[in-house]
Amino acid sequence: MEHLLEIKNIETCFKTDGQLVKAVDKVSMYINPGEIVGIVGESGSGKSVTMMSSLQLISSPGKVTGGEVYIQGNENNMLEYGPESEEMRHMRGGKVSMIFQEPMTSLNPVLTIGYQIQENIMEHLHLGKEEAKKRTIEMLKMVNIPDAEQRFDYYPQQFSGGMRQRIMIAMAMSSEPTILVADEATTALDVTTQAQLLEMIRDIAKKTNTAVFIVTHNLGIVARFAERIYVMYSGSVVEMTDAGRLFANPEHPYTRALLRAIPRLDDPRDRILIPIDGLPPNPATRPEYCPFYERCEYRMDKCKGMKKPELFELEPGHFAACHLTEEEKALKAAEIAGKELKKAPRIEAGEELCLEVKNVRKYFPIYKGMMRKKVGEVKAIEDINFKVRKGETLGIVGESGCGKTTLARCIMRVYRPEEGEIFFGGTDIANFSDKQLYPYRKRIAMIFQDPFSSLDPRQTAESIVGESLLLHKLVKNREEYEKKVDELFRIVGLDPALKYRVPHEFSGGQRQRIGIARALSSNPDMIICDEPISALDVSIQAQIINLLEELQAKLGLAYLFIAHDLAVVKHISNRILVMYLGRVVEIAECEELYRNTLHPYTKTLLSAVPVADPVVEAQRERVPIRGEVPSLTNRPSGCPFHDRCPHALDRCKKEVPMLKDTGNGHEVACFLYDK
Amino acid sequence: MTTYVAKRTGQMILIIFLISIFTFLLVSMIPGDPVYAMLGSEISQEEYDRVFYELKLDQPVIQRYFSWLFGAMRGDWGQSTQFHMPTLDVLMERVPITLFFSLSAFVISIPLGILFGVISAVHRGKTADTVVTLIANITACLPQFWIALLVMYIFAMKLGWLPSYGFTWFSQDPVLAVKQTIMPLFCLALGGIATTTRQTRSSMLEVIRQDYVRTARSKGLSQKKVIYLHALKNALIPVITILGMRLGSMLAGSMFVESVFNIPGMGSLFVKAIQSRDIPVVQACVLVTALVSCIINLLTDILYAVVDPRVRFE
Repeated sequence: MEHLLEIKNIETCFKTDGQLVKAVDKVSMYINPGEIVGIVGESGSGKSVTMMSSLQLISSPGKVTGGEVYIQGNENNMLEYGPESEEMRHMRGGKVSMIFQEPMTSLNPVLTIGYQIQENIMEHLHLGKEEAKKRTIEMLKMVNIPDAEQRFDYYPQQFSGGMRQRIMIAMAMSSEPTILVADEATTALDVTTQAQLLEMIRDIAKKTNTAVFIVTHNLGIVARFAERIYVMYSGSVVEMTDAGRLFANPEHPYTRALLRAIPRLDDPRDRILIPIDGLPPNPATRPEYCPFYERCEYRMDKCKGMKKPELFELEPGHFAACHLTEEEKALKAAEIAGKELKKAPRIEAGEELCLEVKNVRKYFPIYKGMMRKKVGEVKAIEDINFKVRKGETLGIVGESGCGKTTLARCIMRVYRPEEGEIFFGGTDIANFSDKQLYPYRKRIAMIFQDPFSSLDPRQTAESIVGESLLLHKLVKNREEYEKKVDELFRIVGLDPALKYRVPHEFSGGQRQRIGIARALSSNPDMIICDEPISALDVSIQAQIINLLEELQAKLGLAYLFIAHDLAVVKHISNRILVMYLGRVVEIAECEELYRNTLHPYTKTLLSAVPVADPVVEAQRERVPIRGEVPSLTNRPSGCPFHDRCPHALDRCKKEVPMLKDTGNGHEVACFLYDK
Repeated sequence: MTTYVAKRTGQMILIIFLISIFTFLLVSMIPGDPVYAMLGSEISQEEYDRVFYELKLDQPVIQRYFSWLFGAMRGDWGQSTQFHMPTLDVLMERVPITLFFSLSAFVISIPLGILFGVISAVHRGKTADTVVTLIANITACLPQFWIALLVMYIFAMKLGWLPSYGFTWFSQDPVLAVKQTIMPLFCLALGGIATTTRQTRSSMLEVIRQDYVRTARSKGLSQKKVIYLHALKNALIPVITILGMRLGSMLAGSMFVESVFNIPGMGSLFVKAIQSRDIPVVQACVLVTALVSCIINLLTDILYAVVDPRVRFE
């Protein structure tokens, strides 16, 4: 056999509501020793299911209904063995290890991490308990867990998310597997942690000649780490080639469309995102012809008449599943390029201030014991100062727990800040009572992260959108109300005929549109967008970003755009504010921040974000980051970043640097720039 | 862990203290005059005065409470008006019998319930699951006294295999003791088995879907290890929560079962004491039941911390 692992025509079905839904439709893949292979696709494309099926980890109602899996060292098709057979268990965990997405739930909460790793070693390497423990500690040291000997007896909940994922890596590698499957292993983590972990996985894999499958929806990650890439769409592989060729010369229309839809950190100022229209087909009603047909810009009549295209070798090592010939594609490409593109709707922000935040501080007390005595404080945000002009977008970036959402809630006055002023339209609302706030409520609106849980499941779309119209008495009668709701639906690109449906009848992207319509209904001056697109698939994200930009141009709104995805923030914002541990460390114009990064934290943050282009990735300078984000309850004295900063001075440990303007409105809180 | 146990013990003592206050106030809470309430209104003035002073009703309520409390702690629970002997002696005869039934039913029903629950969860949707779930659902709804009457009818009256009433300690007559124990114990344990089965099944089904069970399977562990180690240890947490409540309902159930099988336990004593307004005995029964429940709850909490490390670090 030539490959380390070979999956042939694997097919997995899920039984839902009595019908069989093909989640994976004849997918073939292989991997060679020491190779790093990326599998990219949107949610529901079948990338995880393919991996789980090959290990027979699919549980009811799913079932592997066909295909073959071969692994080096065994002549037989592994799917012939039962899921609980000796051979299968030896492959699963012994030869192929997996790391899963959710580090918070993937480790057993009632067993010590030491036990969980030791168990894996004893199972597959057949070592005694003591030797297994020794190896466990070695593995923990390999993934840089400090005090590994003591931590052996710790439980998962005593570690942070990033640490838990490192423990997962240690566990996966402990049985000396030949293949490691990282199934969205870093998706739930912050960018800097994500970069740390993926680099660790790569280093370990290269050292031990372990092959790695990186399963992800993030094109940047595969561009940075993968050598060969499979692109999946609706249960099938649509393109496969090496990383360089995929990004330089994508062949399948889906890959091409995807690359045009995602914002990149190195985008020029006026880059326009071109969203992919429509939605991926429902696997239950997937057509016989090409599943991408409905959304494809290159589609021709012949595609609909033919069966689903098979993977076809266009040039050595480059496969794509498309019926079109090179000539037909080139012709279509020229046609698409000739099409007039919508101009990027940019409006220049005026000078008039919309929001000014001065010295805002919010601490949360921690209570303990029966008498609820105050024992400490979570210092959520401190010394926050910034301005937002009318019609401007200010992006707020930072890792989880840095206080982005607390800040948003203070501005919304869900929380009352302990200190500081919040001027909105010239009035300080920081200490207003609920009654005084009432007229301001309609002027600041919010769009939430999760379009699935932030809409009341029992309310119709119409009443969700129209609620604040009635609340703030913005309409005079029923007729006007109906008209206004219909108009709001049209503004966000939804058909008003759908307005009597309830949220679960809409797709994720449509629900977020309802969320936007709801935010717009009170005719606000400013909208706070708290991670508005992070729960959406990449092909849908572009639609929402474009919509937000159009609305801003049309209505002159100011946005406070909170997100952890720097590429998106950079694309949409005029200026960016970087937060670290509850403090603002840097504020600058987008381009200025990217070209002339000052704060050491911003540098590491930017360098951690992968760019979806292997050529650019290869040239980028890496700024590694040490350690973990400290806890908010015992924030380091002085500069919050000093213990992870490569340039830390003595002064940084004692004094807290304040934001200072270095010219061009570029403010930074760092002593390195103190003259 | 030590702090945790100390904290829980402290809470328990507080709760028992509060219960003792309410138990004591029972005398004053009876509508009308407590002496008439206990002895009926057809008594002479001398009798009234004697009982009035015996109950120390002339003293202020706080003083009465503390002298009652200290008395109770020394073992002086007052005189039973029904049996005309010290309450403590009455209890000493009865309490062990009830504890014997409740605890054995408890000890039998928990492991069996967990076992059936696991079996039915692992074979979800298959015949084993259907049978176990069906039986568990039926028995969980049947009233205990009805089951008691049913088994008594079948095994005592029709088949004549087992005696229909009475209680003998094992040390006195082993054969008779076993024979007399089977039916009441069965009735008491059945509901416990059913409830535990249902609880284990649903929490097992919940846990099996969790990511860490998938992780355990992805490590290539055997099915046995995945189920009984990784899944069950987590699934037991909600089951432990109901253990305390189970014992409470076993004590309550013993009242019915003891009445049906004519067993001289605390349950039947309690019922009789309430009927004849034997206040000292009622007070003692309430206090003993509360004490046992509190101890069981404390043990449950400790067990909780042993199984779930998250509780320990709270």
